[in-house]
Amino acid sequence: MPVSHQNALREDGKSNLNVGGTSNNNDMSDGMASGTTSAALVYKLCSHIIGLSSDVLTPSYQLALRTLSCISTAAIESDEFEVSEKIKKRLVKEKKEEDAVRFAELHQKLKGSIVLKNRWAVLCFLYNLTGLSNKYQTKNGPHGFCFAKFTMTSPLRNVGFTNTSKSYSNQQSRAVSTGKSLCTRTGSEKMVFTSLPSSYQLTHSGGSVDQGHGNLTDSGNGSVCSNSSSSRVAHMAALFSDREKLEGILVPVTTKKVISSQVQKQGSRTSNELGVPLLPESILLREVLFAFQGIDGKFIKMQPGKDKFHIDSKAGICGQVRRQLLRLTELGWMYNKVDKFCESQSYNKTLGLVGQSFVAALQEELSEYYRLLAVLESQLHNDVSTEGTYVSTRSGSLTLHQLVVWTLDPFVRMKQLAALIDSCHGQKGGALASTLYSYLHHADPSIHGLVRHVLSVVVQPIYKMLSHWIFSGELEDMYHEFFVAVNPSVPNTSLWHEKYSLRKTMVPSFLSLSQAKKVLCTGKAINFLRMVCHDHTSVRPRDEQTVRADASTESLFNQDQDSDFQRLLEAIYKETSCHVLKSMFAHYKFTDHLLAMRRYLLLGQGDFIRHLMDLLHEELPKSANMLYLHNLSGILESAIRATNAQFDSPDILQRLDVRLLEASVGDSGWDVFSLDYHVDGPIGTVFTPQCMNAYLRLFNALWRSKRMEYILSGMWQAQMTYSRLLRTLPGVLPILHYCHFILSEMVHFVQQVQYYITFEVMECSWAELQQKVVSADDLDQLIAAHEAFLDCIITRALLDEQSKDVMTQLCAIYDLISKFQDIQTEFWQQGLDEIAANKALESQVNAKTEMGKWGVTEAELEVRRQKQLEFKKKTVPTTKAQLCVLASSYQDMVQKFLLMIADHTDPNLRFLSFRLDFNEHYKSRNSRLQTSFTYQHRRRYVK
Amino acid sequence: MPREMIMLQLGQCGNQIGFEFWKKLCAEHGISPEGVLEDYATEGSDRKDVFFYQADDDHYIPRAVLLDLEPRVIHTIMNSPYAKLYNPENIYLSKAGGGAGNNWAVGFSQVGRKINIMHLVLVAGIRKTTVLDVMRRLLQPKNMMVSTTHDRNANHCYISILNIIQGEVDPTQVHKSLQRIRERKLAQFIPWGPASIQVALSRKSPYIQTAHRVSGLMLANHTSISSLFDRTLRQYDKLRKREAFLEQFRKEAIFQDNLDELDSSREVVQQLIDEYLAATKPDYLTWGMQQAGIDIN
Repeated sequence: MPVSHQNALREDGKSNLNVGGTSNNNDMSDGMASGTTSAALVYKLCSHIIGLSSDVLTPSYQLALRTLSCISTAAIESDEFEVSEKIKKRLVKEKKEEDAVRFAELHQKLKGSIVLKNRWAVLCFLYNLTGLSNKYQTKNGPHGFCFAKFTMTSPLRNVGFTNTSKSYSNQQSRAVSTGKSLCTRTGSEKMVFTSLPSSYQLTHSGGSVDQGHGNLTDSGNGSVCSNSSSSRVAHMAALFSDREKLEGILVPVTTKKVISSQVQKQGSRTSNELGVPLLPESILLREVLFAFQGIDGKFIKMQPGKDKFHIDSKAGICGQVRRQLLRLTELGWMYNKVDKFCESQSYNKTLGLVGQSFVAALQEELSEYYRLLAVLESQLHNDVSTEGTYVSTRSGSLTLHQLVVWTLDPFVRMKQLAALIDSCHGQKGGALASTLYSYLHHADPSIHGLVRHVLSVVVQPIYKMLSHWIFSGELEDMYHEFFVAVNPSVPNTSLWHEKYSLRKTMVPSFLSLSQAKKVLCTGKAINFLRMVCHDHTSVRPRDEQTVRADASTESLFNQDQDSDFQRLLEAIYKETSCHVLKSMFAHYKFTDHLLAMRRYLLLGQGDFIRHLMDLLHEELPKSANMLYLHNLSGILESAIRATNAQFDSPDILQRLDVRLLEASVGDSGWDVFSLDYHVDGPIGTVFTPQCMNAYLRLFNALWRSKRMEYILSGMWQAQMTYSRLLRTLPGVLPILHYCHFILSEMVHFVQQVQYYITFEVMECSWAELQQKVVSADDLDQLIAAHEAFLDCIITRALLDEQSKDVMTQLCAIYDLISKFQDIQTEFWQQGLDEIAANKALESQVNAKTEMGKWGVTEAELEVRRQKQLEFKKKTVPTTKAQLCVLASSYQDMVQKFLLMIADHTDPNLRFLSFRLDFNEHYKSRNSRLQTSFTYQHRRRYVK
Repeated sequence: MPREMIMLQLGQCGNQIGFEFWKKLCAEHGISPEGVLEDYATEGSDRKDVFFYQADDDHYIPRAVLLDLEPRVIHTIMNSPYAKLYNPENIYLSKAGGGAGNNWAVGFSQVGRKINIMHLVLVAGIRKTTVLDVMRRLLQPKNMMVSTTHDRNANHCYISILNIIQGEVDPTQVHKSLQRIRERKLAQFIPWGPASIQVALSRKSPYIQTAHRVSGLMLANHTSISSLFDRTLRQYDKLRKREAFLEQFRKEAIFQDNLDELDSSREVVQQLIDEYLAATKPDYLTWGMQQAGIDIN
């Protein structure tokens, strides 16, 4: 059966949209069975299809009848049995024995039925159709497969293109039907409908057959796809047939020879002017088609050494045509470029998945281009081969002008592809996608569609990696194309902070940095749960298909605020982050540990710290290298047992430990002693070694200031106890008064520093931290809040680099306090010794007097008097002088300290100076301090 | 507990105040008058062992020793619902039972111990809504528990202040309040050394509903307390001049030979008054050095 006939009929069926494929078949079979009635039916059908009045209908009707009778003669067998046997054989041959058996059964049933009268015709028709679809399958096989694969991975694109293809095919079928009506109108004997390139027709009608008889072929999917992807060719063909319609004249074969000889004559006449015979257009067309495929022709060749096509200057081509040809060859040049790129890249092992997708997308475009070439080729071939039999007008065959018009769209597309290759060359992964994305916002919808398609193919692997990462936390990125990088050598302890990072160059430009960070964070959180928290239940393994259903690949680069991808990412990010936080709070008791830090390392648990200091008071004045950790641990243990610390949970108390810092020469136990808190596992992610280091520094500073408070309160107790005893000694009262005076000033200072740290620094930052901890959305925010808390108190407690001088000054003041303690303790000792000696002498006198002897000898008395005088004349003035020096240097230092914090850039330190000089005692004594806190001073300083 | 606290309740006033104190404390910690934890307080995380210790039967017992020479106040306590709260072993009454009759010499011989109070304190308490309001009002003389006369000759001032603020207090509010107090010069401090208002914050008991969000207590050392001593001293001098009540004192062993103890006590109080007055002046340090200097020579 001639293919073109069959196609023409199929197109008929298609144009009659409200009549399904099967009913059409029935019409036809009916028409073949009963002569006269069927003739009426055919007439009806023709009138229905053409929709014109009966007088114009006659030629069409005659053509239809002829066509039908032609088929009936082709199908000679009128024996139902023979046809059914043929079908069975065929099915068996195709190894579909089951189907064959089923067919026999169904056929048997059909025989019993009286509804269908023309069984053999129906069977015959169906059998013919099977052969057709098989043909289609073999011809379109590899592409069909390729597209099928493609469709599965991008639903959205499929939908979009199916729509467009539908509209194309509608348009096309309309064009075809019009073309047909025109050709029937001429009523000529052997009219071949050549307006549609036959290969195209085949593909297209094959598709529709499959839709009608899905059970006969199992390539339904593939044909739909080929339908969609061949749409652009269809579009071309439709254009062509439209054009055909416009020119509208199909001339009988006999006239063609005349016309073509006329053309040849014209050509030779023109060439005669140049001296070289002009080449016929068909040769030029062939040359151009060669060039389109990047192949050298006879006249049009790639110029060796130069990257361009060259037309043989001696060839008989006139200037205008030459220019036209050169313009056409540009397409070939670009094809060459794209093809070479694809070829070279497919052997590139470092290309990566994204690059491969890019090449695949290009190849897909190329195969469509090939199809166009095939169409053109067959068109050309038809013209040439049928020259002997058929003759059509110029407009009926392929011309250079037509070629130019038809290749306009492919030209633009190929140009765009070449441009893409230029800018994407050497790029891979997300960077490649970024580059492609930059071409997406093209005003030309066809280019936009092209780039969109290529991009959607290229993004596939990225999207796959991305969804794999955010759902299961696994990285499948052999070529380092994804924007999340992993460092496998990082141990699990620092997984959160160091193991995964953002590969900034690979972040596709259609994702914002915050999105990229969320992606990173989500996968990281899953890994964190799995590897650090050992929480395997947490992450639900998701069906990849569901993922795809949730958000399409294209939503990845659709920049709408509420795109599917954005919503999906947001939801998963939230879910995972919540899970991590929940795990941290509920399972790993983060807040309890945080509280433990505050209680023990930041001295929040007052009674415990005080008692610990009581217990360590004997131990820590020793030299640092004389300390034993186990002794100190024992002391810590008893301090816990005796205070409210005992009510803390055992897990927390177990982590509390003693630590001795690195000792330098001359350090005492006070300098190196520190509490420590062991953190591990998930909480170690928040309490990083750096954070713990900060805690230790803070402990050291707070512990020192606490010790000053402790020393001063001890001195106050001593003053209360001893001053009553010592005031009986001569000359001691001024010293007592002085000591009291200095002590009260020091107590004030230390208390205010303590108060500042406790309330202005610790309490305020703590309140802020608490609030942030509650409102944290993810672990990173929690970590950031904690670090901000530590930074804040480190700065305000004068432990940062900027406050180094102020801290040194503070330590110098603390040293003076220690010195004061030494002076006072020594003086108490001397005073107490003096009192004891006096008492001893007195009791000696009393004892001897009772025994009836002289109480005391003059010499003994003299020794005592000498000693008394020494105390009065030497010890007292020396101590007084020491105290004077100490007091004045102390006051100088405090004033300098106040000036330093007034000059400090951190305005929060004003709280401290405000407290230290609440009653403006120092301000009234120091003229510089009077101006230091004014606005002008601060401004001057800041400048 | 390290640094345990033991409350000594002495005499009529001490025991009356103590009684009210333990009532309040029991209510704040959710402890019933019998010393048993109330049902609603069993989940509490408050530390009761600062003021109470636990007997074997889980009763909370105040860390208090009650002393009196006459039984009236303690009898009242022992007939109240709180009778079972205290440990009977911690209550001491005079066997004579008649009391000292305002004669401290009798008390001295009976108890055999001399108790000195060194620090003299002005106490003020206030309940309000904001920290500033509370701290400001605490400084107003009308809210103080000790009334002192205004002395025109001396420029009396605060030596130290401690404010205990209870309730929901934003720590940043404390700073602002102090700033306001300084700006408005609401408190006059000593002119010879640094001084400021110490603030301690404490939580409110969840078991007591009060209309006030914030309440405060101020403990202060103010030089004007000297006027109180001065008045007492002048009254003493009048009585001494007329030899009033001295017969009762001479009955006790300590005063049988002479009244030196009374004279030296007067001397101590006089010194205290002098020191307070000196502390109102900027040259307090030199005063101390010179005054003591006389002793040497």
